Amino acid sequence: MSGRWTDDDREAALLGLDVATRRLVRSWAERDAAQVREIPWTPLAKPLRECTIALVSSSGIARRDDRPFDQEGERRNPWWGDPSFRVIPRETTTADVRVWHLHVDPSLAESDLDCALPLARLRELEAAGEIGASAPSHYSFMGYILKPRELLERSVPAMIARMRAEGVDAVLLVPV
Amino acid sequence: METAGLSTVSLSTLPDFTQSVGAPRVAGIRFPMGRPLGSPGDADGQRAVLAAALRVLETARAPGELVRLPFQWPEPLESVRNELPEPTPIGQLVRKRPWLYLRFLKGDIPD
Repeated sequence: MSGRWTDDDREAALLGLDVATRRLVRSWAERDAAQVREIPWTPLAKPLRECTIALVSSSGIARRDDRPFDQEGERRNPWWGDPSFRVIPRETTTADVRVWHLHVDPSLAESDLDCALPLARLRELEAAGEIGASAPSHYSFMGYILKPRELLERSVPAMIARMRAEGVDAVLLVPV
Repeated sequence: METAGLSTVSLSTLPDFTQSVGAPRVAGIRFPMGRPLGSPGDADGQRAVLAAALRVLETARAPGELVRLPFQWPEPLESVRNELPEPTPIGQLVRKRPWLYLRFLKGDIPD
């Protein structure tokens, strides 16, 4: 069901935020909406049930045996956010990870990884034949990045290269 | 990613915003921020949202299309609270120097 997103819908999502953050989100949304953009488009090349899917989460998830996202750097310079990414293998479970994101409630994904990066759910869809396969690698970055140049120039191309090497057909981006 | 030949879909609780930054396909869900897939422990709910979001890869017809996912949050949305272990560094900075909030609102970020 396609459709417009109404003012009421938009305000509903913001209800859990404090007043200052709400103003910020509204202001940035209006500013970005004013810019006209060329939207890239790659039609899905095969039916979903034949596709290899990769997930990307902006929740700052890293395996416990991997390097954490840099929070001290952000505490020192609050305008900065860690632009790196982490690979999260498809069999990773809740116990394997931690959340490193100063702007989200870490208890959600740390109690159930599938709230933020639904790897178990994706494997269930694979078993049910609704998708072709869950890719060997999935990804997380930390979404508080006010100037995304390094994310776009370094992290994203690295993710893309790995996705292509693994035969990924389509990607779902899951926000905070 | 789309430019590199991968088909993408973005799940979003602020889908008109996601649309405005040029996402090729947007799956909009009227859920609270922080819980786009549903609640911790609700495997059936999460699976349903995941499947519906992935289906938008097939059903979206035109670049920038927003498809509304047919899910309703079971409680009043204002009852959902996100607890942060510490105040955000930017929040602390702006509280100490309130004039910076205006810069932040305008998107004028220092290097």
